Amino acid sequence: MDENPGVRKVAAEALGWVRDPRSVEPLIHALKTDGDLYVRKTVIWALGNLNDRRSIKPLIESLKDEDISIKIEAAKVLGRFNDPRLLVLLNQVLKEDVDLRPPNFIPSWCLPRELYSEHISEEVDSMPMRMGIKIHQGVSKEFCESNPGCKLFTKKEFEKLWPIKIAYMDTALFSMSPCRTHEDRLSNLKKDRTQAQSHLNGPQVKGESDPLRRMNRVELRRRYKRH
Amino acid sequence: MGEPAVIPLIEALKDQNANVRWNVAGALGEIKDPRAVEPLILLLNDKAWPIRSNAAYALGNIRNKGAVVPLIEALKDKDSFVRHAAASALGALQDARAIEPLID
Repeated sequence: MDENPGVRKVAAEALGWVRDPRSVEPLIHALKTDGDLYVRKTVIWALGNLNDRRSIKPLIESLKDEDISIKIEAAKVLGRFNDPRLLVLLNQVLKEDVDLRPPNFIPSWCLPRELYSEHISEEVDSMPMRMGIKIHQGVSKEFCESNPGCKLFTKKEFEKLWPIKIAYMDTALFSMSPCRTHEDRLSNLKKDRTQAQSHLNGPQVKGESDPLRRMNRVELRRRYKRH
Repeated sequence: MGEPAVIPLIEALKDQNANVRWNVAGALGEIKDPRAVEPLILLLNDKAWPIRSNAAYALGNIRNKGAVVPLIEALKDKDSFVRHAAASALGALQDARAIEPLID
């Protein structure tokens, strides 16, 4: 257990990527005891990636969490177990819980496979704030029809919901994306670096609108003429 | 940038200037050449923490399993940014040896 929540978060993420059954129980322990919201959120994501049946029970418990984003994360992960009985239970919870409804949350198993076109997933990935609607897997129409309570969104309905979601996600509720890959983190570092460099070099102004720059240039010319 | 740049860059890792070492570590991580793994492992013991953390990120990007043991040691670094980078890199390497140190 690291004292830094950022490190704990990344460690949980790494355990999610490595996918070893040994890490299930420590992760469940962390889910119950960790004080940091983002760590718990990442732990839930990691448990979903491990896809171990031991984690179902604690995940169902965290559906009753006080925090909406934790609930959403847990619902998202539980949907990925692809267990029909679990889906029935989950749909019941979704019906009762006001927080777990569109536009807060659209369960991925309710979306038809055609909607997972690349541009939607890219758009979703490019907006770190829209975590409730991150789409992980496709489900066939038949599967939805065979599961009572499972609503299949058509493309039109989805497009209608889209702008509302964006407006909703912009509120402070969803301020951080739950999990990122190593590549994402690297590209963020790179962005920081270019930002830092542009900050150091000053704003790049075309023409001679920057008085300081103009002065330097005049000064340089003068010196150049002298020598 | 590409493969011909790897050997000069590895030599630049011994530069006196910390800024040079920091940038070169990032560049080597982008080229992803396995020849850069060992020099980057040596860089995990650098004096400055930004360099150590950048080296750890680069090792994660190269994805060479030879870096697993040094990265596990970097999880005990006194700086949290370095531990963060090491945990992230171990997640990218996806090696089962990293599980127990990560749980701790």
